[in-house]
Amino acid sequence: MPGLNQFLILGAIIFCIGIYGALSRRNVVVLLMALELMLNGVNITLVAFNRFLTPPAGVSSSPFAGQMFALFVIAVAAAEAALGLAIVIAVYRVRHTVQVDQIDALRG
Amino acid sequence: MTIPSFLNDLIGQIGALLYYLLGLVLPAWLTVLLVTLIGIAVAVTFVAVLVMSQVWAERKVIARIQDRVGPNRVGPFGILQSVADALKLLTKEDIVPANADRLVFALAPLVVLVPSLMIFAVLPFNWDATIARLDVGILYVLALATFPTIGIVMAGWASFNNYTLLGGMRAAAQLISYEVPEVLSVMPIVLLAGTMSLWGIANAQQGAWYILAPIVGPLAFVLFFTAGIAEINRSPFDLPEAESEIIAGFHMEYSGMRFALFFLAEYANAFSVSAIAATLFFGGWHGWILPGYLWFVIKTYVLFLVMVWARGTLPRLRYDQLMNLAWKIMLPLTLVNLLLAALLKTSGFMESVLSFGWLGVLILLAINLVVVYILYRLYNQLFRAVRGSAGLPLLEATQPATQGARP
Amino acid sequence: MTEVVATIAFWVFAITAVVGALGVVWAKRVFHSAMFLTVALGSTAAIYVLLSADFLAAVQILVYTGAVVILVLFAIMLTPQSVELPTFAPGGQQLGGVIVALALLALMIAAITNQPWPLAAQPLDQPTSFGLGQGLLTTYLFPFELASLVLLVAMIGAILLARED
Repeated sequence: MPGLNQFLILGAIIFCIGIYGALSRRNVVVLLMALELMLNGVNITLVAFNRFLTPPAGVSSSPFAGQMFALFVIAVAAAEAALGLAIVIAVYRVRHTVQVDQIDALRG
Repeated sequence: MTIPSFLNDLIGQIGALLYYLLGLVLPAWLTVLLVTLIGIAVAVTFVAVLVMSQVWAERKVIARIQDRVGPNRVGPFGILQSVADALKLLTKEDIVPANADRLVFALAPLVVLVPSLMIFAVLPFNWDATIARLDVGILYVLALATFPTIGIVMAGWASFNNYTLLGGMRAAAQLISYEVPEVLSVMPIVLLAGTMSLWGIANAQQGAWYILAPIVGPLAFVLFFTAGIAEINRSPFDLPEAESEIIAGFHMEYSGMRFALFFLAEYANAFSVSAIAATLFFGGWHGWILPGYLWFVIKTYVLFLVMVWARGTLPRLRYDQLMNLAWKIMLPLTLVNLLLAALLKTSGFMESVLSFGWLGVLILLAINLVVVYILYRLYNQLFRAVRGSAGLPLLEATQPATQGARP
Repeated sequence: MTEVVATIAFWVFAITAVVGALGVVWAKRVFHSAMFLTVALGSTAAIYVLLSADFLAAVQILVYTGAVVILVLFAIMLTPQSVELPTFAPGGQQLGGVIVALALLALMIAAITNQPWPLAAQPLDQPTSFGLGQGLLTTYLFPFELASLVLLVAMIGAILLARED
């Protein structure tokens, strides 16, 4: 069973691929997909921490704090993807394009 | 009169025997691997044979509902009709549209079929005959039930055809609309059982089946079954794939073995939904005299026949009626049901009634029948009142053909 | 035996996750990017199973591949673009992106391998549903309610933004 480092490096690789994707693609939908990848990389890191590290001390925390954090990240990521894609659709209706470099100036 | 435990635990005993025999010659890890693989092979074969029998049963029953006989030429009572159909589909020419995206086109049937087969891994066929006793069994099943939607969109898009694309998108909208009531309608049962494991839920029904839970049981069953039928694209919710609508929708361009995979997926899904309903609401393997796994298959088959009955009797729902039903009627009902289930669980009503044993079961049944009857009368009254006063029907499907005509 | 299976499973799913992620970024057509995203998210769910987060794995499949990917597919269908448009940023920006990503990766790997992590004596390998449920309704009740509010606002906002008028 691979140790903590392997899982953390996997999370880091997926996160960096997400950053590369966000920087190098013109399509806004692909940008949002790269954003989802980044959030997934972070989630892998959180869940790996939850499994391998000593649980946080204190009254107001549970041994599943890492997974709880990851659960909230999933919920917020879904909400943000929905809103982002709604904005993309609204912009497409006006500008008829989803290329980032063509939506970068206000009209006029 | 009870059967000897040897017959009841047959599947578990065979598994234990295999473990022992293989453990004599092979190392431990190889034994576990081989027995699991054999279990998977047996389950998949079981599914394939079952699907053939399902197709035959459906065609005969629908034929009788429509006042005809059904297949009766190939083999006695047409039993071998499924074999003939399978052979025909296998030997058909494999046509791929010219501009289709070949890889996505080939993968779409797999994305639809594989989750349906994966569900069979957690079904509790008997108290000791489950391939994987997951702690989150029902959540695993519901998560896998959302996967085929992607396959349907893939199939619609990859065929390079406007009509299949439209059919695929409409199918996706229908499927995601019915996911929410499907997941929420299962939650009351999880609440009552206290566990998400399918084996645990079936085990907790030793006293009484959950369909006997006052109000919560039948309501949850009706909601889950309806949402399940909608999720597997069966009549009366088969708008995406109906032959007379948009020329068979998302799988129009599929022929031969590829179409056979979609076909197989639909019937495997029908069996899974019936099996989950049997586990959640009808006690899974609990029953008298016959071994547990036989009861499980019998209950599942009866529920499948109810599905066939619905297909033969009810007309197809229109698209807006479908969406109306999911969002405006089923979703509020599931939330109310969850509330009632929480009330039921905290008051401990079921446990106190079941302490009377057999009498308790009959009392629960009587309560449910009375409640159903009262709700039926109330619905009729409400329907008559609303329709009479303003002429607005409750569901648009019930709009009279000639407005204002009175018998 | 479970050690061998776990290690093989980790490498298989790690490779499919990375391949999926690279496919999202490099695919020429947007639809293929969405397919690769499904692969990457599904592999992540498998990684969660390896880390004994069974509830989270099921939720990942249910939410991400069952809803977010379909959302992305709908958005792709509703915003059709001609295939000849350039999908990648100009070469200079791409090179910059690669450099930034690789630099960040190197920094993170250096930080990970040099940090003395306070490892627990026994990895946490128990069923999580009960603990998660308890935590959500006791310790983390406030974030739970806030998250439901966030989802409500997102729902209303998405409906309003994507309307035809």
